[in-house]
Amino acid sequence: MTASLRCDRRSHSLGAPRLAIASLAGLLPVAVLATAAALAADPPATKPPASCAEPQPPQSLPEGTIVYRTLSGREAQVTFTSAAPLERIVGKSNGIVGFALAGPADEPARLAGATWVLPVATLATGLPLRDEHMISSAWLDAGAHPDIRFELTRVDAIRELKRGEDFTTWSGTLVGRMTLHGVSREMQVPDARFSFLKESARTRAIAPGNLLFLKCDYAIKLSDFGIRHADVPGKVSDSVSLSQMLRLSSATPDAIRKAAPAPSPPSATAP
Amino acid sequence: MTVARSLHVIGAAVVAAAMLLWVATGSEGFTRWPNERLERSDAPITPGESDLLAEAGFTDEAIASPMPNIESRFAFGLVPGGPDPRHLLSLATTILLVAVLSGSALLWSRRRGAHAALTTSRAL
Repeated sequence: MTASLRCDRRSHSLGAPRLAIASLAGLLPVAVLATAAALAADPPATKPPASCAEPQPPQSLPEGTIVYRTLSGREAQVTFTSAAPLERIVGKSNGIVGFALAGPADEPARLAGATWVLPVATLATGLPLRDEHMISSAWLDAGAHPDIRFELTRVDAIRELKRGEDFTTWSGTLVGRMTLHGVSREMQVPDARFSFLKESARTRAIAPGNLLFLKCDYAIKLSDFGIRHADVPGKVSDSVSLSQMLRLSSATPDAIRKAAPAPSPPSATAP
Repeated sequence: MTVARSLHVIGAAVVAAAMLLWVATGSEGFTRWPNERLERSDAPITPGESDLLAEAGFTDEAIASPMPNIESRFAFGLVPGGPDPRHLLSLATTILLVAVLSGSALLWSRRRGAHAALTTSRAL
């Protein structure tokens, strides 16, 4: 009996670890699946440049045309939101560069043209892994299409909202061409807001020159630009909302650069 | 209190603390930490700009809705935000770890109890 008890003890002493291992074996697949789903990786992305050549206005412009240049690298210029059932993603960028050509003196909001370019690599969502996915070939494919571009052709439905000694504020519909992921589409952005401010001591605290503030909210569909993925629409909404606030100055690029705040130190995580 | 029971209590406390942390940091889906890329994509608005725009009527009416925002900060998420160790922290991984430890302790204590009962019955 003692021998059999000894045998029982040995088998029991080996039984507890076996049970623990069995329970782990049962739970681990669940853990692995859940973690894998959370970390589902798209093909690693090549690193596109985080800036691009600033688009330049046409060489020949009508006399008196005021060129406003976009102030970038400062406050966020665009924020995008994807509100899907399983996930809400918010991201932003201050990398938009470009210019706008003011309209006639009595109606400057009737812009004669504009081009804005957003380097895809400047978009940030707060999660390094998600940022990598976003620029990968499965999504925005920044390697092949490093920029998002909007070229304004005209402004419709212009309405003066307020006028003062040193400013005018207008609303209008921006009409132009958006190029994203290598696909170009005509777009209309209604209810855009423009404020033109003459240079003063208060505006110089922001930037030299006359200032133009432009705000608009609109939405784009990823599928319209050839972006299709299994995560749409569950984890990423096909319709992405964008909110833009651009600050532009009529000062020369050199004057803007000299007056710009000191850039933040580079980080190890910079793309 | 037995070791197994202590583990259950501690595990429950850890899960409760993790849930509180999840709620306190914004109830976000993914764990995230302060991110330099996100910090570089924004800057504080120049003092005086808001007043200037308000006087110009730029912020009048419903169109002047504030831009959505995301801050560079720590958020304890529901699930991991990446494969690196600090992003693996999450409510789900915490619950999983506690469940594994508690489950193992429960099974071990039951097995031990069954063996003790068998030993006693044989002795009798």
